[in-house]
Amino acid sequence: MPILEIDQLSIAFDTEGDVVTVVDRVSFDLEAGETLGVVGESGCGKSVTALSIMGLLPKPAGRIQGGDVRFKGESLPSLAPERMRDIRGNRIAMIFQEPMTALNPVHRVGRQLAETYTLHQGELSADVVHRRCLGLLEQVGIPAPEQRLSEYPHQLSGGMRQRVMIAMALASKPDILIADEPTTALDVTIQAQILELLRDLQRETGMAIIFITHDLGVIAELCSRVVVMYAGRMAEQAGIEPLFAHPVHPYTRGLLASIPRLEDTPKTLLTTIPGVVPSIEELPSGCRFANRCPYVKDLCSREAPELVSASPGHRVACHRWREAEAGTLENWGS
Amino acid sequence: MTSYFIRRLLLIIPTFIGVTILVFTLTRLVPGGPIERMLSEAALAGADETATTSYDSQGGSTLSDAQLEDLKAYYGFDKPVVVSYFEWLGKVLVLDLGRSTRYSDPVWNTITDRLPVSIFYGVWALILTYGVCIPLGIYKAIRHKTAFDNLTSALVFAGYAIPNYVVALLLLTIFSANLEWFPLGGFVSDDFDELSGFEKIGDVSIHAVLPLIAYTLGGFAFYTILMKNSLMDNLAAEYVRTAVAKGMDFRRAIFGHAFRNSLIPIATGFGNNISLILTGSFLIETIFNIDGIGLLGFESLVERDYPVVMGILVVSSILFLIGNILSDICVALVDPRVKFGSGDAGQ
Repeated sequence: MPILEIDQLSIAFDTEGDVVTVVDRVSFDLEAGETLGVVGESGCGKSVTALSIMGLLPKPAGRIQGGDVRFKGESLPSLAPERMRDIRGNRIAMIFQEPMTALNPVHRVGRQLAETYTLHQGELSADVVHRRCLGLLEQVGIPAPEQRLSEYPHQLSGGMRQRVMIAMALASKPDILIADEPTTALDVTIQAQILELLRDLQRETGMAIIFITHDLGVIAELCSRVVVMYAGRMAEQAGIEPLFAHPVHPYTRGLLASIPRLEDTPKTLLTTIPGVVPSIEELPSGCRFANRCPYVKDLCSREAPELVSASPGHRVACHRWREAEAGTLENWGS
Repeated sequence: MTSYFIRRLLLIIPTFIGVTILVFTLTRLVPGGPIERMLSEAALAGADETATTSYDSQGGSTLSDAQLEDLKAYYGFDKPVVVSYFEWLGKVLVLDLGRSTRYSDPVWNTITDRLPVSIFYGVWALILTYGVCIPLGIYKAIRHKTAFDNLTSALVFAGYAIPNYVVALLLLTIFSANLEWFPLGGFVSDDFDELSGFEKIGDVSIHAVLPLIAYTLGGFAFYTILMKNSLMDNLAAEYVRTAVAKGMDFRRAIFGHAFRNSLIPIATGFGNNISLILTGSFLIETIFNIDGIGLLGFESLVERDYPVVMGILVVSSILFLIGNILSDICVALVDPRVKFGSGDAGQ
């Protein structure tokens, strides 16, 4: 049984006098110990999906409209708040995009780290907590941990702060770590170090990771399976190799074609996906990618494609998936 | 950090000299003064029968020139302003503020006589303001846009919009004159000395209720809304989300994480309250017939009682300068990012 099941999850937000569905019937599973990538551009609903798993949707504007999130078979949205607090930060932990603002500026690092223990393992003595915090900082590769514990967040670099966030998330040895663009705000070398660290930690602890990003390169490096989201819906889901080798959905194909490659002719225009994402208030009734898709046909703007199984473990939401699968669609951009 | 505060303390000296030089010179420049007042008094006394004739304060026929010179020498007006300023400053250094030209009492005693009353109101106004505004601001932030929030906003802004002397008059008319719940004014009752210990406390308290309301009502809006907005900003901050993501309940996230951060803007103005204690409000003191520093300062200005004016200036400017440093200390206490003076790891 998968450790986490997202089942037909829809999330709605109240805007000025209107209700907008920002995530529409998203379904995927997470197996224990695996790394699942969720990729898509800003506003596609990937972060909101992650927040809804944690029960952290901004209140009162956001809410789960339909579907379910099950952790070890237990429905999270219907849990009592106290029970949810036992899971949050304990069994499922989360790290965020901005390590600069995710730590409280007026409390010492040590105190913020220790909080996870006092919240979930209140029986531990202060001494034990202190030693565990030291151990955590060592585990995430922070030099001079004793000194760091008594420092404030502004005295640490961005990479260090993200390491502290990771240490905080690891404190109670969670089953699942949700990483919401944890490397986006960091520069490339630090980014590589943090990815390396996450990979090592996963090997040590056996936790599952949901890695949210807009960077396909990061996905390729870290994940075993990928969910591609577009404008609040799932476009495609596949194992990492099939997805990169044989992308089916036109959006995925466009994303992959847009990655600059070393063998490209220098000083030529980069490939892009033409057009813009439809605004969340004016989503088309058919396929949401229709206005940017080079393979669009009449059916696409009339009817939304269902998510279908193209091959085992490979699901796609496109009316023309059979042609893509068979290789009879022309290449992207040609 | 210590060196920063030592530097700030040393800076008090030139600032203090600057402020007092300015006011001292002004007292020499503006028309009117103790001598003119005496002349006019003498003219009025001497011209009782011929009260209709106007007198000339400059040409003062009622005093001889020799007497005038004596008076000028007595008040130090015979010397250049710089000389008499430094004479005055030298006396201030040994805590001699001179004598009031109006009461002939030492200025120091005149001020200290009224100090307890002003400190009493100042301290209670301070406690009342922060004691009401911080909890109210917190509650309003949590209950944002509810009926309670809207109603209290309307109330504190009404208090802000009405001038405090109008509030004072309204309170006095309604609760003292008509309903007779509170005394009409004064700091204590006439028979205060005959009351027992508890009765004395009760007497002071019942006299204090209306003036305190008039003092503090206008300030409620500022601190309440500051606290509310500051807390709401922090509740939306990512570190609060981090705290909740750790499994913390919302209440603990507010008081354990957001609260201290939202005190930073409040702490910025805290030290300055020390000078509010002294300045008070002469209008409210006049209305409620309270003999405090505010009233003393106002009267001594009107009566050109310059030693008292300068004496109050000495006390209030020093308190104000110390208050500024206290504010800095308060900010440094709540916000570890603030490091004064040293170049490392600042904001």
